[in-house]
Amino acid sequence: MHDLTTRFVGRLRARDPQAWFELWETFGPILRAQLARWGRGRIGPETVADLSQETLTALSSAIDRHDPSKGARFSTWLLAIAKYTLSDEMDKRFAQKRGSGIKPLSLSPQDDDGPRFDVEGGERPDQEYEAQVFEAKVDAALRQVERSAGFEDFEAFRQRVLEGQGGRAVAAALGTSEATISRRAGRVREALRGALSDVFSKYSFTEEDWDELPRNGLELNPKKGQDASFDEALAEVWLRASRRRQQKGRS
Amino acid sequence: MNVIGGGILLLFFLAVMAVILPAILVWVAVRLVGLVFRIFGMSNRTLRHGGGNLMRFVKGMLNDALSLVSGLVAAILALAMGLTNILLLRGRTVRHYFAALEDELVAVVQCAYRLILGHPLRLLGMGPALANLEERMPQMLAGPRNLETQGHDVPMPQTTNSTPGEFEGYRVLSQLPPGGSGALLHVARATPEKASELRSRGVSVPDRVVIKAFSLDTGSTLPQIVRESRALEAAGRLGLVLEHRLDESSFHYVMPFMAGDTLDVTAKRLHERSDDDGLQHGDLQDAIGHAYDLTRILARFHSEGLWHKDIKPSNLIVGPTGLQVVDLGLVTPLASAMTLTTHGTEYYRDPELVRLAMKGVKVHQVDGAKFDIYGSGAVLYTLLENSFPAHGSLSRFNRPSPKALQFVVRKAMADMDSRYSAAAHMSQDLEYLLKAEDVWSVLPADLPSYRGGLATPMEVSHRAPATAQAPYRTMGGSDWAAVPSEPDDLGPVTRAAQAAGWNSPTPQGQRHLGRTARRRKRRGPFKALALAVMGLLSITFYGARFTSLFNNPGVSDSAAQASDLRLRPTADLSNPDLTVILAELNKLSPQSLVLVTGPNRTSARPLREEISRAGLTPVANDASLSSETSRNWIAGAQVQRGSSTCDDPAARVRLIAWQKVSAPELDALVWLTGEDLSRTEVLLFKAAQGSED
Repeated sequence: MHDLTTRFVGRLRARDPQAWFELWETFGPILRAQLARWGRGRIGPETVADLSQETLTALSSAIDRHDPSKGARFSTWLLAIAKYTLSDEMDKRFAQKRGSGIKPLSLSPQDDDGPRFDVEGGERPDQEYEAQVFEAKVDAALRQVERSAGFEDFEAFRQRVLEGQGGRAVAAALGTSEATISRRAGRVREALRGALSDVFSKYSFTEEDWDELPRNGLELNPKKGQDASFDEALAEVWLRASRRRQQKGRS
Repeated sequence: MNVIGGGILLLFFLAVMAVILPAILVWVAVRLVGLVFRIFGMSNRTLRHGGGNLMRFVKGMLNDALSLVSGLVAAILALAMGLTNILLLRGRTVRHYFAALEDELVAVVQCAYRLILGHPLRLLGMGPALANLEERMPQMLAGPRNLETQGHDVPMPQTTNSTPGEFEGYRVLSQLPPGGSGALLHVARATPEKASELRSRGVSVPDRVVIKAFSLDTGSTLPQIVRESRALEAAGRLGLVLEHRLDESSFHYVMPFMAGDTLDVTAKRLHERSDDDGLQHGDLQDAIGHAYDLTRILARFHSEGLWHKDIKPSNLIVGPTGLQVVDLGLVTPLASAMTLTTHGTEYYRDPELVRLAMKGVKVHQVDGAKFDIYGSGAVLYTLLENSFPAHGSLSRFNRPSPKALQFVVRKAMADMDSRYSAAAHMSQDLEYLLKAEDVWSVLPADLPSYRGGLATPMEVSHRAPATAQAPYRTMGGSDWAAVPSEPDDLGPVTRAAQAAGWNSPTPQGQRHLGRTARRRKRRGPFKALALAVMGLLSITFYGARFTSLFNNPGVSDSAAQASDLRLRPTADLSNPDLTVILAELNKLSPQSLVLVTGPNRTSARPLREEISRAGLTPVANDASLSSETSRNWIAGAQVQRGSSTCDDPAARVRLIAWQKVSAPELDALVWLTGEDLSRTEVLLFKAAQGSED
């Protein structure tokens, strides 16, 4: 486990509200989506919101018992706590409504909508969830850079890289030259690489977590000329995440 | 002589006829051609929208049929319950059930209207004409109950210690749904005595008021009451509150009644007319106008030292007089010594506010106005996207909207240090966009905030707002310009903007290439079709010449060979940019299949997105093509990559000849070779139907 991770977990253990807010801001939406998916048709959006908060509460007590040497991935760890929070809630409900004839919620691996994983080394969380966690980490890095970079630099980067507009078009839109746009985008790209390293350090417990970056084309230590492929990969991740959110919004 | 004279007259008559008759015939022919084009135009539109309209029609009919049945059942039940309670002499319950019956009957009438008229007429393309009627009908049907019916049953309070639901000097007319604070909201009318008392204090008395009432007896808590009363002092300075009263167990205050829909309902309605194409001209102007009104109101809040703290679409009312801000529950003085709280609404509240609140920062230590500006940006995003910004400032625009407007949203939602420093600055950018002849052609670099040409906030905040007419002095007693409404098809904000003389064209509007593509949508069907046909004929003609030159260098024309090609190169696209490409692609009919490919995939992806937004069907890879075509595409791409350069005529000939046989499904092809769109080399289109085979 990286030093930053240790420090971040340490901040969580110390009940640092900033660290908890950061965790909530980054992964709260994913937890809500996952809980809603499991509880589809059985729990309403209000309960999902409550449960996702309870998940973080449960996380705050679980963080003290967390043993990094077990080798569970961060995403798996987070999902395990969400799973137990939900199953605990459902147990409470069915204890109150025993005999009401409602089919109990199944969280077993056989359930189509349920999680396919086991913290102790069984099946893994499904690909969609893993993709969401990865995208959330990239988003967190982007937000971090957006806050630190100048507005015009980030705007150049957003239009040129994330939205994939041509250099000339972006230069015209922002009233500057193509060379300036390239320079600004380059500055943000460098900052983003640093932010990605920072965010993945915080939210990665295993080397497997780290491997997601190069696997998705986001090389943090690029060779010469790899900027274009980094940009393309980043734009793809951002676009994929946006579409996923849009679909979720519609459904 | 007579014979000669008659002969001359006859000759003269024949000569005149010889001139006039052909002229008449030409005129008739032109009219006929015009009629044919008109019919083609209508058919084309019908076909374009037919599929979507049909689905909406079926869905709407089913929904409304079910709603009608369930409404009737509910109405019968409500009637039965009401009659039963009459027998039991339970007056309040009877009123409740009869109100419910009325609601159900109104819903039934609305469903019946949509079943009989609304959906069928919409299917026939009369949606826009119905929109106005449908907007007014529910208000018309709901009006009597909300305004008057209940009012007669409520006695006018005469005592100082008023009971819940009774307020001295006011006659309660109806109830509004309670807000998030749990307070009760009553619509009321001031008694003549109260009205004259208020007038004597210099307060303008509106026709109707809203009384927001908190009572420990009805479940309100002391902290709520304290918070609201604190906000009230501040809101009173803006003239948003007529009067208030606090006693041992209850508290209420009186505000002007704002009739109209909330902004989220308005946004939904605007987007219903535009499908997924984004807001169109008049609607877009209205959306910008609403955002402009909001920033003007916020500028006044901030100049009075106040922070609204809960800017969101459901707290904004769009009425006939323009936009109004309601719900003053969280209004806070900017210089307050209190600690920041996390109150507000997710997605419209800056996450930075939560971060600072968790640090225990005091209100006066931050610029609270900037959080309102963030909310304004989020509201503008909602107007443009008909959805909340789920991803904060990184939220993507999925519907077409002007780049400059997207920039305004981002600037408003940017990091605290990069954000607009005052609502008035955002207001100036929006004003610039309102004035622009073609808002789509305005670049972010043209905006006043970007050029650094901003006036000071105070200069801006005291100008007249874009509302059509202010019914009463709401904002600190300033007199807002009243603009008479005109019977046109524009929204109130647009009308007001025009009345204020905001129609002067900008130089930017003259020079942008993309304007042609956007203007095409505003042309009449005949003109658009005629131009499209002429364009197509030109492309076919010049395309044939162009191709024949490549196929047979040195040979002037080879119409026979050229007519074999399915896709033709467009004229003069040696160095196009995105706007030109899109303008060319926009000439295609919707659902056309456009392949965007080439060695440079980075520039292909954004172009595909743009094409998709334009309503065409971009092909990202070979998935949408037949396997035979896929193989040929791969082969073609390899051939193209192997060639020295696309400027090589031989390479173009190979590509053109190859795609002729390999891509029968395609309507157009964009071949990208360079680093970005400026290096697009080949842009080809399917030939006119008549010469394809």
